[in-house]
Amino acid sequence: MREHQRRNVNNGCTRVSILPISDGVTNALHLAINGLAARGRAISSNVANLETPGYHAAQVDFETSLRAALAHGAGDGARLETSTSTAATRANGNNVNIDFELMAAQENDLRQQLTVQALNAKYALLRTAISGQ
Amino acid sequence: MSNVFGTLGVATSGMGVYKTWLNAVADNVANINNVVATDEPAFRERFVMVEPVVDSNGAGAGARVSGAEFGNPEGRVSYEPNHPLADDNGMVRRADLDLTDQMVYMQLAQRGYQANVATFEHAKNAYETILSIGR
Repeated sequence: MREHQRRNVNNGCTRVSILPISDGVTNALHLAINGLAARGRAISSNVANLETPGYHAAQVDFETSLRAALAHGAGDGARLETSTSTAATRANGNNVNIDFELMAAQENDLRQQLTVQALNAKYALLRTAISGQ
Repeated sequence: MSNVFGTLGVATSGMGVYKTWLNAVADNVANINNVVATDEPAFRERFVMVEPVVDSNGAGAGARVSGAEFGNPEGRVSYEPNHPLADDNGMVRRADLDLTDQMVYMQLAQRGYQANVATFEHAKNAYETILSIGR
C-alpha cells in the first residue's frame, strides 16, 4: 500500500520531493550558501598567506557545476571546484593579489546576503501557506 | 569544514603569523646596536618562516609559523678602538642588520595583519547572515 502511494506521488513528474518544504529552490539555495562559505574560507586563507613564499592563491567555483546540474533539473551534480590561480608571481613566488581578494570578500558577503534573503523569502511563502493567512 | 565557524580561525591564523613577524622585527630593531667582542657571535637577525595550512579535504585553512631562521653570526666587524670590548686590533662585532629592511618588514607585517582583520570582519558578517536564515 505504501509502495503504491509513493509511485503515485512521483508519477508524471521528473522530480518531486516527498517533503514539499525542501524543494528544488531551497536545495539550490542551500548549495549556493555552501559554495559561498567555501569561497569565503578560501579568500581568508589566501589573505592569511599574503606574504608566504611560494604560495599560490586558491579559487573556488561552484556556479558552473550548479548551473549545469540545475539545467538537468537536479542539484545533485553540483560540487566545489578548487583551482590555483595562474596569475604572475611576485619575487617571493607568491601571487596573492590583496585588491582582488578584498573585492572578492566584499562580493561574497553581498552574494551570501542575497542568497539568504531569497531563502528567507521562500520560507516566508511557506509560512504563509502553513498558517493560511 | 569540521569547525562550525572555521573561517574565523583561518583569518585568525593569518593574524597570528603577522603578529609573530612583527614581534621578530621588534626584537631585531631592539638589538640593532648590540656590540660584542670579536671572539663572540654577533646578534643574529631573526627571520620568521611561514607555511600554508591545508585541511583534510585539501582546501586552504590559513597559515602557520613553521620556524625561524637566523642571520649571519659573523655580523659586521667595525673599528672602534675606544670601545671597552675592542680587541687588540681595536675591532668589535656589531649585528648584521639593516634598519631600512626592518622598517619595510614592519610595514608588510602591519598591512598583512590589517588585511586579516578585514577578512575576519567579512567572515563574521557572513556567519551573521547565515544565522539570520529563517528569521
